[in-house]
Amino acid sequence: MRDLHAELARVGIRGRLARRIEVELADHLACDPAAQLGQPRVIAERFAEELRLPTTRRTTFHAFAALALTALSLGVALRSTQITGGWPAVSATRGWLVSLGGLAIVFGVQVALVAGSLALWRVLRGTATDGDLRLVQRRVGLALAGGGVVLVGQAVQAAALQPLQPRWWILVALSALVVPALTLGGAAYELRGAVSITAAVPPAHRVFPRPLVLALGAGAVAVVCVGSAFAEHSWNEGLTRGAIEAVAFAGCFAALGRYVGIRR
Amino acid sequence: MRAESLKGHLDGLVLATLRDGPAHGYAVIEALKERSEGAFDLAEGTVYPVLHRLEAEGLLSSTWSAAAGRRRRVYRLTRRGRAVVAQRREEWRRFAHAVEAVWV
Repeated sequence: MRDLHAELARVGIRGRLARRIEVELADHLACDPAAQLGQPRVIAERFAEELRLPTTRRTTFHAFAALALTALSLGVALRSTQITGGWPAVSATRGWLVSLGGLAIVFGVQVALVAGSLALWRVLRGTATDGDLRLVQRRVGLALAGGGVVLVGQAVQAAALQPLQPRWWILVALSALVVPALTLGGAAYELRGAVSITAAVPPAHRVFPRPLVLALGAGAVAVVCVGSAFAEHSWNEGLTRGAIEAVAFAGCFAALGRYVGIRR
Repeated sequence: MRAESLKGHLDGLVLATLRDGPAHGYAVIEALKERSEGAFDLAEGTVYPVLHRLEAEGLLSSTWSAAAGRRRRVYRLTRRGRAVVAQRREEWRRFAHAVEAVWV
């Protein structure tokens, strides 16, 4: 059993799961002291091999659910701001903090959405190798980081606006962060477990065809451009935001495309 | 019977042993041995990872129970697991029938 404990730890199985396996196998030996369980190394490797795919799949779904809750919390924050009559007039310092929080939210939402969708896409299409699993895990990690950035952005904005908004607004804005923060944290913990039982191989890149990337970029820019133009009743504003989106999309593709395995 | 012969069938067989009711790992392995009249005498330590995976895939659920002063993990089929057993059984029946027809 001591050997099994060490072998389980070697393949990345620790904590509650390791204890459960040890208890189950100890019970088996108690039922049949002459049982041939096999070599601890083989058993531990078999556990890791059997569990890495379902654990990664489950983590991806949980991460996506956590990101959906993050989006919901963002919606709650925006709606409650509308109810108070919109953004209050702020001083230069507070304005700077609110803008910084806003930038973090815009950046985090897009990174989380793209990385999370790519992870989900890969999982739903099927993952055959450890390299595929590594790629999914990397995308999930980035998506969760994006979600975390969104929550930090919301918290920064809430803190900056705290003296200028009604008390209920602060309570709503901050309490809306609790559930997504817990679920993102839970998914990150799960991801850590999935990563630890997956062989340390380089992620398998699935390079996206250039026309597809261009089409996705153009689509995102068009949505932001038209959406902003309608929301703000101004084509100038729409075009400005569309241009920012184009720069952000190109920048993220250049900076993170290789990391998430969609470009060489 | 060689372990390779069971490849691809072990999931279905493990699920099938739980069709009659919940059981712990040792009982599942014993049921496999008994029902196959000793043909499926697997390396016992390799069945537990399969049970864990089937649970992670939502085909089994498990709870702790106590027996003879020991903690014991008891597995049971989920609704999805039951559906998979029925599906695999039907697939096997058709396959076995076809193979039998060719041999005869």
